[in-house]
Amino acid sequence: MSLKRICPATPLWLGCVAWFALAVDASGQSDRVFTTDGKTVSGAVTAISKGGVQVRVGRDNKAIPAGQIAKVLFEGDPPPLTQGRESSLDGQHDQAIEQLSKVSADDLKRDESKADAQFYLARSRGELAVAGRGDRGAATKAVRAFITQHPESFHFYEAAELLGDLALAVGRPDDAAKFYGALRGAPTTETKARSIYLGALASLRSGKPDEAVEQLDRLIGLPSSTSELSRLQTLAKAAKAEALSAAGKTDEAIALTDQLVADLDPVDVAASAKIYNARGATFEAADRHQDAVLAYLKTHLMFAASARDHARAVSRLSEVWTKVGKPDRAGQMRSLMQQLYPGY
Amino acid sequence: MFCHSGTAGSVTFVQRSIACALAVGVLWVGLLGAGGFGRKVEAGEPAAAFLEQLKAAGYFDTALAYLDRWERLPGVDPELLSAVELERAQLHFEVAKSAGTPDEFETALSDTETSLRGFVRDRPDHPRAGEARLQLGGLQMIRARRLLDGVGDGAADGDRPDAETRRKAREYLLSAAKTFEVNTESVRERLKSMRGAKVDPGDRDAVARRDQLRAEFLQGLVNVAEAKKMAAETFDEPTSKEAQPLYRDALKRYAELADKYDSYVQGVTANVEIGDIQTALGKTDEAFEAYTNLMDAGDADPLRPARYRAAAGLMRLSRTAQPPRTEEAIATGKPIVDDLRPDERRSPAAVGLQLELARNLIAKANANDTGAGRAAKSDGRRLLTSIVRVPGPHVADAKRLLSDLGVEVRGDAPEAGPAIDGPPPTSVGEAVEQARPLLQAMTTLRAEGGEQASAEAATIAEQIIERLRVGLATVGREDEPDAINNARQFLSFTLLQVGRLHDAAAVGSFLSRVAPGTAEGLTGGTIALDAYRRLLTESDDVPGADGLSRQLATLGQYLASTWPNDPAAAGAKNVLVELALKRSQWDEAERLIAELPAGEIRAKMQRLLGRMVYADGLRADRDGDTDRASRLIGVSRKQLEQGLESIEAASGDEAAMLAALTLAKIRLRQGQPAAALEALDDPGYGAATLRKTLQGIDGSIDADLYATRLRAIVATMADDAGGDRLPEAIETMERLQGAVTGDDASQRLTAIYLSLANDVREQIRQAGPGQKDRLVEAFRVFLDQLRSSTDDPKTLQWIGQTLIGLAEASLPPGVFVAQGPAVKLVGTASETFADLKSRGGDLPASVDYQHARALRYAGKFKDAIDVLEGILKKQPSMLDAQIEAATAYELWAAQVPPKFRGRAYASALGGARKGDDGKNVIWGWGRIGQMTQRSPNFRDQFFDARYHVALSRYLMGKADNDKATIGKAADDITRVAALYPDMGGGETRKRFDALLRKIQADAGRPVTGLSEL
Repeated sequence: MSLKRICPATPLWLGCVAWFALAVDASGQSDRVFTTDGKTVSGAVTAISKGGVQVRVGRDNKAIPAGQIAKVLFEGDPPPLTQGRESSLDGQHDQAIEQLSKVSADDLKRDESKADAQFYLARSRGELAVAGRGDRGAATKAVRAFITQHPESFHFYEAAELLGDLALAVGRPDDAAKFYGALRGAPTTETKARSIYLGALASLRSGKPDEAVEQLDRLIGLPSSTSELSRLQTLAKAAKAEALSAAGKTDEAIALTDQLVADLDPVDVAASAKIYNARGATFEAADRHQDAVLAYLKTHLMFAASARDHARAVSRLSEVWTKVGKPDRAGQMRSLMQQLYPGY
Repeated sequence: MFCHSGTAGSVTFVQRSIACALAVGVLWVGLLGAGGFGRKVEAGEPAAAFLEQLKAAGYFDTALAYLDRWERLPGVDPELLSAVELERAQLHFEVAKSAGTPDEFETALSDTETSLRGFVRDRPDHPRAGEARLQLGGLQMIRARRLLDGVGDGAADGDRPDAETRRKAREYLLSAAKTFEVNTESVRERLKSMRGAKVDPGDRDAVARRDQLRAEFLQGLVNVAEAKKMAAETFDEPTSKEAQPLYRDALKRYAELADKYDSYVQGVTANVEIGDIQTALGKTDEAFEAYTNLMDAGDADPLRPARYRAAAGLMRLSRTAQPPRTEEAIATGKPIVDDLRPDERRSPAAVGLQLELARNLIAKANANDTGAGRAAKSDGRRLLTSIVRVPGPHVADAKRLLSDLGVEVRGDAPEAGPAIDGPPPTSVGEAVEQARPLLQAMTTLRAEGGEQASAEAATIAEQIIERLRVGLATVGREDEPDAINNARQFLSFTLLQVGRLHDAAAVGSFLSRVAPGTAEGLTGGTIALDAYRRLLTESDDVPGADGLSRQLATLGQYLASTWPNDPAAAGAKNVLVELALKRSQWDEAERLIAELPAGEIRAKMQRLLGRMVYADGLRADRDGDTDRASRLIGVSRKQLEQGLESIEAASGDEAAMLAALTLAKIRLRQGQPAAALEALDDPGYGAATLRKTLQGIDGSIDADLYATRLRAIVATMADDAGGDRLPEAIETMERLQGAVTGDDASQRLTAIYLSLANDVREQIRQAGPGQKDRLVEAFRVFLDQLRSSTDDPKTLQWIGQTLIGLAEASLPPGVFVAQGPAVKLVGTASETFADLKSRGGDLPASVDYQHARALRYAGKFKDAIDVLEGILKKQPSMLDAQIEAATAYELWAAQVPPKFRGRAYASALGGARKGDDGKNVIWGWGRIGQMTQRSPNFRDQFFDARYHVALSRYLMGKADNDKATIGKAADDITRVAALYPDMGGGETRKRFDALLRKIQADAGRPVTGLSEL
């Protein structure tokens, strides 16, 4: 049973968003909504808004907020869309693009399927572009086009985050902060909290580490009511370590990453990559280059599933290896960057 | 016997030094296996796994820097830390292996030795101390060999190092002997302790442990003896008082091996070492006896190198006898040299044999200046010319002998000669005769595997092809058809072996048509079939695939009609079926299988098709294509049932067992658990039946088998009217636990149980009243088992939550306090949560919430409310907890003494437990209704809250006997009806209606219900 939460201080999300009622006849339709806690709700998706989806299950309606939707399989989705969606969610973006490019408009009978195909294609292109594999301008346009054409999609907040990531990747942290700010309007606490986390990353990139620390402390101080929030707080601590080292507080930063490593869950590959990248950055700031190499190598050799974190680790290794007397390995890393992330 | 060295200063010396280490049988056991990589994933620095990654990447220096940091890193396993010096030694040795210069190599070896010595000294009782001693001994042997081989000193091949160098080498060897000795004695003691314990032959692990220990012991004896023998050889005079005791000691150990372990390779080959030592000591009779013992032991492959050394030893004894017996020596050695395989000729033992034969031939020639003498000289020269091109310590001797014969060898370094040479054939018969031994050598090399062997096999294959082509080009009328067809057969076979598939198909196919009805023709045909099959299956995108398929089909029909009774020819259709299977063309495969004659092959193909189609069906299901999945699984079932029915008396293989297991899964999936059990237990083809007859089955298959059986048993519980299958289920669970092994056993087992629990919960939902209790009890047992198999907080939380869900499922509608079997369930749930909380740690609020639910179901309302208050003080907006608290008050009210009842209902209605701000921490139904009123998302909760507002007020009025309050309860409902005419629709509206009627009756108003509104 999932725990529902309402916040008396703010209007309930479903009360303040406009439902986008679907034109299709929902009777007998069988869609499947997969939630982030691993459950599946089967029924007819009868309404979609940026706040989430509404599913008719038997004679009842169930509303599932956007932050709790892992994916939606719409009845009638053609196989390339189903496969492409999975690949994109698995981080197999090259494969996802290949599969989604095979989706023909004629095969998409429903508007929501069309929106999904467009979103996941833009998502995978965007993710690759953030990691330096693809045209960031074109990726940004694709995501913007998606938002313009589907302003009430339940993917709205994911798309906003991706726009922020792309802005950050091209060195426009102020723009990124604006996009990330949009997540404050999301229905779930976790997404709102994510807005704080991402905003702090933008502050850090803007050269405002103290402001970033303040934002991150706010997030870290929230009660950890769900595992997702708890995980976000771990990431916030990793980001805080980077902010502290950027502010010259390297001892405090290293101590914080020590704690993160002591509690590390190596199964969470994405979080582990961020933690070791942060650790690498703190060691670099402290001129402990061999330690920095070891930290980045962990991301490179063990936690490389996330392209953008891997790209960052390899990019740093291409410089730090030289500082420990290994210019040949630095050269290897540069070659790797050329091969994998040429635009990083 | 010293390992020979190459040119000093090149990288090759490093490789040879390493090869020497392997040659003495000292295995540098990867520290990973013994050190326990692959441990369960735990929080903290992933030290072991990262170290492994650094090694794999070749970053040994970085790995060393990483080891230096282990003590300071958070979360490094103490067991790993305790062996850090051993890990360091392993890394230094890796650095040595990749060293580019002798200096780097030497430094890395020194560092390796320092680390190993440090580990052995500081941790003599460490579980890995034995492993470290073995490695230290091996390292000392390497260092001694390098000195004796003159590496780094620029010594020429065959030159004996000076006395000081030999003294240093001797020190290393004696140290190595001592190190090996300590370890060997320790292993001997362990073996002794096992002697009394009977090892069950069926216990594969115990048998493997004993065999491993025995192998370690034998290798230890060999290592000690070899180190002592080598140390003795460093003295100028074998019979000196310093060398004698070392030889005697080595002899004692070799004799122990030869006497007690003559059924092992080490025991038999010890004879050649005994022979060498006795020769050095001048005891020729004893040496002769030892060499002869080995020669009598046969020529099994593992013994062949020792056999060549023994033959050389015998020839040496004959040559040095007084008077020399060169004829006898030649008679001993020549047949063996003539019989050397091409792949063996360049091995050190074979080269030594050829050198000794050459010496005898030259000795014969020197003593006999006749035609026979000249022939012997010529043979000796040919042998020497051949082996002088092979690198090794014999080169200096070979050059000297050739020089004595007037032959000067140009160049300082030997060159690698071709593996095979000789004149090209002049006829097809000669080509076949030349190809025959080459084919044997090629086959042996290919079976041996490895890069070098494969390369040599490829070279030989090219020679075979060339010779056969030359031979076939000479074919004339006088040639025998058998020889021609043999040549074609050999040619097609060799072409197939080297992957020239088009050529192999063409030659094989041609042969089958020109030699119909013959064995050669059939062989050619089957080679062509295989070539076509590989052409079509080894790549998904074959140019001209359709044409090849047609040729394959045509050839298949031809073979089947020409050799109608031959199974190999009938196999042509099998190839077509395999092709269809490879391409996932299920319909085509089904059609082709249907055309096969009834029999085992057809049944086998059906079983294969069934399994593959099932796997595809599962993929379709995962992709959401349920129609396709259903159709495929139907096809799979049909094929499996037909393919399995022919198996009688448990005579199937592993593939048949897996087919039966798949059938069981399908029947289970289709809701036929009894039929699934039949597929497992059928006396002929049942998977469990076949399993009993098979050896060497992977543990994961056993786990799958027991898990499927468990699902089937549990699923039948709902159908079985009288039978109690719970004991059988528990027994299967125990077997399952035994079958799931490995570092991740706990996780895998947990996953199986979780999946099973979901199945059963679904069954309970669908079960009739008569079946429910039995299923509930079965499920409780599963959850108990699961609970005892895991410490994972998330799983324990799930167990508790599921127990509550189960209790709810077993209670009649509208009952909120456990009764009957549910009492035990909520009790276990409550214990689970209490246990979880007692472990401490940062648990989510949902644990407290679920604990409170368990307490409430158990009727412990106050305890439940206390827990809920704790949650809500921290998170007042947790709606589920608020609803739970209000429910607890409402239910509690019904059970408290009448005088407190009204107040309890008031708490349910208006909240309770003041917080620091003076407001109620527990909202009560009234505020829950207000907070959910505006949200469509909480529509159900809103109407539920409004219903309970009315209910609580009504019951409060009744408890206080207050008609006005009862009347207000009716107003609560009518107000909702005015604002929300559908009243939540369906059942919700009916519930409001029923309550309103009751209230109206008790308030003395007309009973109209909602119909009046």
